[in-house]
Amino acid sequence: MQELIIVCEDAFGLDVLSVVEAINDSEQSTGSLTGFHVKGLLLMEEGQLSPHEVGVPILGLVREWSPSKEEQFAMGIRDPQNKEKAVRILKEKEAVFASLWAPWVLSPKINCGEGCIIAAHSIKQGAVIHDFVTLYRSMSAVSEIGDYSTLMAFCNSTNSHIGKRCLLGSNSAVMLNQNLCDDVCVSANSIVVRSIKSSGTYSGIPARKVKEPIS
Amino acid sequence: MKDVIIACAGGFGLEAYVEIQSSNYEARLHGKEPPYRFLGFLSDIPVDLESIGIHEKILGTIKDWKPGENEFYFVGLAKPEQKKMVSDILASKGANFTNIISPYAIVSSTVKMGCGCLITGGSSVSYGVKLGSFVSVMGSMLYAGAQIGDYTTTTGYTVIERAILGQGVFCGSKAVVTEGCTVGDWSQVYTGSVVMEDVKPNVQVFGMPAKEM
Repeated sequence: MQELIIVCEDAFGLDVLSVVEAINDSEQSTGSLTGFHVKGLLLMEEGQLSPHEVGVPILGLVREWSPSKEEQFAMGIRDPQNKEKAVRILKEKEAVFASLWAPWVLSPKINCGEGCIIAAHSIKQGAVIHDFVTLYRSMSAVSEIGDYSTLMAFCNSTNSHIGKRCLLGSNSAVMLNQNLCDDVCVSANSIVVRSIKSSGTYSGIPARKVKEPIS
Repeated sequence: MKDVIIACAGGFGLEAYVEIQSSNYEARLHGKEPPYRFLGFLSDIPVDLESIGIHEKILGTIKDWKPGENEFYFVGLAKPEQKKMVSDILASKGANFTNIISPYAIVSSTVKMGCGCLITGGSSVSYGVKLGSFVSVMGSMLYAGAQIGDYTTTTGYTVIERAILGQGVFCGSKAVVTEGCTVGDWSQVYTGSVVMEDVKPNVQVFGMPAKEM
């Protein structure tokens, strides 16, 4: 059993707890690989989660934590910019990051960067996934997904190159062969029909820019 | 092993029937006792089950049925108002209700639910979600911290982020209820809507962002 600490931004860290639970359940039944013991949660800011909401200890704030050699970290953070900040804080303290692969992920266990979280029912046929990417029940066939990006539930992207720090909202889709540059946020239920070359928030069908990026 | 009778043999009742068969199949595959023994359907209208290949009986009508001891019921209806009506009728006759959870759904062990709920395959119910009674989750994704009231139905590919759904809410396919929103009792979120603000009770919303119709 590996010791795992989940860094949380609001309740998204609890979804990662579900992924860990699913991994532990399936390890128990197949008995093949080792599972994770969740030592606790680290918060980005005070008061984002209350102790009675969760069944695991809240260990404190991520900026005050000193990682030990036995601990591994998982980033339960949805916003890519915040994810990058937290990873930087932990890397300065020489933390080690765990990759979480939930059961029923339809793909062989390779081609994935450091610290990725691939939740159940995600499909990444032939995809190249860089570091700290979170895939939440999305399909990303033959795509390349840049560092720190997050794909929420039911996203689809085929043969697309998605840049760093992108956030694809639930049910969104990036059409065949279209690419996203870095720092693009696609809101829920939107469809990107043409490649996006400038950062910002895009929404609608077809997706149009609605907000400039926060620099 | 629970004896189960499904009230209403319409499309939704058949979904529940399929999940019962899946649960029993998976249990037998792993050498465990099947959790359900299906006794039959109740239906107030004549239904030809044989023509769709279902070899089960219609045991009687809902209005004349007398529930026996050690029987568990499930209300096979999608519309929240109808679910409440039929479950009230059966409850007044002393019926007990069972949850039906597909073995192909991913449900966290920390999820709390009442009675009479259905979670079909492909659903993902995350850490700490609270479901009321008679909630139907059909292939939806419920993120951590969501709270779903009694009689609510979420259909295919809906996503409920950390939001609060009231009683009797109906979410159409591919609807998204974003973080921090509250949907009032007995409202409807139509197909493909993205709810970004609180929704009042008893309204219908549609669109991206969702607005009252």
